[in-house]
Amino acid sequence: MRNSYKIVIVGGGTAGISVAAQLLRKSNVLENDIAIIEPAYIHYYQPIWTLIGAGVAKKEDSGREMSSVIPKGAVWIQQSADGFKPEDHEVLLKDGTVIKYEYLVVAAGIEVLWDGIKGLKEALGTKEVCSIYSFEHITYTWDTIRNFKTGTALFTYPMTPIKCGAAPQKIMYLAEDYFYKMGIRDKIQVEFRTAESAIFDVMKYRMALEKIIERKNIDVAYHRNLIEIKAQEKIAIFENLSTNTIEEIKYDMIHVAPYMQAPRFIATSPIADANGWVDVDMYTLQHKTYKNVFGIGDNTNLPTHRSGSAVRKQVPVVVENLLSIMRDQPMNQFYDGYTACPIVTGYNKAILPEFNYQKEPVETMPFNQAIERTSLYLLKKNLLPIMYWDGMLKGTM
Amino acid sequence: MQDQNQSQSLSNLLNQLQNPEIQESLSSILKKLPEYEKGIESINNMVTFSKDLFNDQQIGQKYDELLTSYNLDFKTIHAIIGLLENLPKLNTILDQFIKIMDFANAILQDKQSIEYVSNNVSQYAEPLKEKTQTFKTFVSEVKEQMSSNDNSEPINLFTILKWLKEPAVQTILQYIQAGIHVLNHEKERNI
Repeated sequence: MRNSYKIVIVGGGTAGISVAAQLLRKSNVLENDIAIIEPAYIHYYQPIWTLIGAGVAKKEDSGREMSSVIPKGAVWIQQSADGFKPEDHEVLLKDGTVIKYEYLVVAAGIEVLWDGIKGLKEALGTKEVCSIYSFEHITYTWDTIRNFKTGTALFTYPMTPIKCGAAPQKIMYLAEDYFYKMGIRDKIQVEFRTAESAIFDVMKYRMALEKIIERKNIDVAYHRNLIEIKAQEKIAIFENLSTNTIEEIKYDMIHVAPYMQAPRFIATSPIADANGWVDVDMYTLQHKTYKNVFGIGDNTNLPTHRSGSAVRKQVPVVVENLLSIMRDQPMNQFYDGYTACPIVTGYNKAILPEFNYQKEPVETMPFNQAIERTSLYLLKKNLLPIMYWDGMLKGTM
Repeated sequence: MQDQNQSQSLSNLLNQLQNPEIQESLSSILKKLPEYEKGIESINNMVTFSKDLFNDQQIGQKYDELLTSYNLDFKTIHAIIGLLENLPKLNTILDQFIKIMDFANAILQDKQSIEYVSNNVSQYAEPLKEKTQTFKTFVSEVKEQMSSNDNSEPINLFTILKWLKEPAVQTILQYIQAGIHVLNHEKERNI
């Protein structure tokens, strides 16, 4: 196996594949000189997992073989990365192989800690404990929702950073809408317990979502972090982050957003900051210490929401800046913190928050995106998957 | 005095020649002299060729005729300059266009995506198709009944009063009543 490449990309997710595709479009000489280190066989389009959990999309539509999305001209190293030696320009693999690089892009995503909440790992997929963050258990989420007839439906949001931060809300709104459509809404208490201090960071969308919550009669409590599930007794234990006290909630079904963290092999390496994330400049995405290293996506310490749309705006910045330093030119692309998250609020409507580092709305559409619209739901369900598979992953978007 | 100056210059030159670096450079130049000679010869050939070409009126005339056979004038030169000026913008537009073409091409080749969209479209179309079908059935049943009934019997007031009890007729009448209310309200506002 070849052990040295001009550019090595760690991670074959949204960010890794898109960066490779755009680099190859921009510079033909990189053909067969870009390596993507990724152990998985399947590449998932995760934004659709909420819709699968709500019974309106098929599980098989979310995944494709990794070999089919690796861009032509990139070399796929099907291994797990295990560490970095940035001083020596080396990536260490799990099997002991050392891969040398001239330039490195770290795009390894975020790690889900299923054992972070006591009792979750054992209970997940049984006894009405579900989560759309687990591909294995998405259909169980839908089974739980559609078989639910009466009692308390509890939805949680953790105190750690998570990918697609609006997903726990989306599945809650969809479940609530389903209960309403089935005519059993008055028999069900829908509750949301979040470790956050507000329903959304950006004021414009916060106000819109608060109205939706009021209309849907959802009971919301802030600063509540789920720490344990007693699945047998159907009790969820929360830490009240304001009072440092413990609270218990008796539920009949629970949807959990698990704790997440930076991948361990990054957190323990020299490229990480004190919290374990890849330590990059928030505008150029270049590593703060190692100038031939770039970070992108969920594994970075960028102060923005982790989402596929954020990655879409980060990719051209990494690509252009990387090519600039390869050509000994000054970097001239800057990321403004843009992120977007279509929040599905029912089976045919959604709002579309788009904002930047300053938490200012930066909307693309010629209408108010804080208003629930069917067009935004159709965009989320039908258009975005196409843009993803045929645009982003091909390097044209 | 002149002899003294010459002897001084010679002495300086000899001193410099004793410098090992100078000696090394001279030796290197001497070694490369054949290459330099070839280079100079090539340049000389090119200059001679250019001179000959310039002096060859026949060739000059031929190319002059060739150029004048095209519509090349100041306008063309202006256009070329204009194009050059706009190249950065054109490049951006062209880049976007190529991306759109590639995106469209990728969709056309992506069977899974096409299947995904067509499935979704058929899901949206299904309720509409059902409604159309229901209406068609309704119309054909009404037609059928009309043709099979003996319509010679006149409809009397008693029959109409019986209709009024029908829920479907009641719904239609309620719509009519609501419509009249709205019209009256509009009329009052306009007065």
